[in-house]
Amino acid sequence: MKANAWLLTLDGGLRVAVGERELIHIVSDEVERVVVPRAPRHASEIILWQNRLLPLFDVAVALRDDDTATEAIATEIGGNIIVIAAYQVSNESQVEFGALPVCGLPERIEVADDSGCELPSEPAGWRRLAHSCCEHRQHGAVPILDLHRMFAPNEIHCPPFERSAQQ
Amino acid sequence: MSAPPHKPLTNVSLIQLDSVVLAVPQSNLHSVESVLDFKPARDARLAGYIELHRQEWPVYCPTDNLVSVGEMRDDHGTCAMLIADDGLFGLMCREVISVDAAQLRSFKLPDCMHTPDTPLNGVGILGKRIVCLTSAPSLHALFIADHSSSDAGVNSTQSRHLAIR
Repeated sequence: MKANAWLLTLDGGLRVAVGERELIHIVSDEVERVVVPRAPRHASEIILWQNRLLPLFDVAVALRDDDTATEAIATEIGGNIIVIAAYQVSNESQVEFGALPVCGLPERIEVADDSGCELPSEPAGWRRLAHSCCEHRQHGAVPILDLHRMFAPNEIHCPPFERSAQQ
Repeated sequence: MSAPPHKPLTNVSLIQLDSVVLAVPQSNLHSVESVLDFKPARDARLAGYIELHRQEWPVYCPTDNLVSVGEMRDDHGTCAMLIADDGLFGLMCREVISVDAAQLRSFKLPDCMHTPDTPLNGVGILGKRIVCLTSAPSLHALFIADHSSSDAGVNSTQSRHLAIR
């Protein structure tokens, strides 16, 4: 069995995947972004999209904040494109939305059932952002994001990310 | 036929920092003051004091991340005097305007944007502007906590500031 997914390239060359139906819109980075005071560094901005306010979640920054030893990952919220992602807590629950900054257009990929692999051990933060991982022919292990856990961490009682001091 | 439910008319005060716009209930705003009577504090987290009603009140000059800096900024020439639980405090900003609350569409703060010290209780859309919903007591509590935890603020100025409360 194979399933379709979207391969996303993040700042710092990181690659992740989301399910085919989880990516619903691609918007320009020129969309209005507003800083939200005292928010975590990886979700410090909000965007206006279709009369909704969506948090902009930067996976690269979240990984860096979660593992300060990972110097290679970029230090600023990056990406020249913003994608809108949708997630549900359960099949009966309302669809919720969030935004992700990415570098370049998403690429459609097929994920075979037997392509599952271990999450990369570094950075350690993958375990808080991804629910599984698949082996990609070209890019190796590609974590598959757990959007519900990322955008609604309090609902599932996972520890929040550390917030770094921000001026 | 029953009468339509009474909806009280309330206003919201918008306080423009740099790019961030804070929205507080108008009832939280005491007045808008000039900085002519401003007295510098020489404190890392407190910009100074302003005299009002024969009393000095602390004045904060916050960044967009609501970190108060210890000096006045030329582009923040307006002082919003806000009502805390036990007095007043000033917030240096670019401008303060009042709008009808009925124009504001408010939303809860997204779950992933919560932190233990957030003074925000939501975000909102006002026309084409995105605003951060908060209150004067929440802002005051944040600045007091920051000030207390700042090593640089532990001096005679802090004692003076706390005494005002």
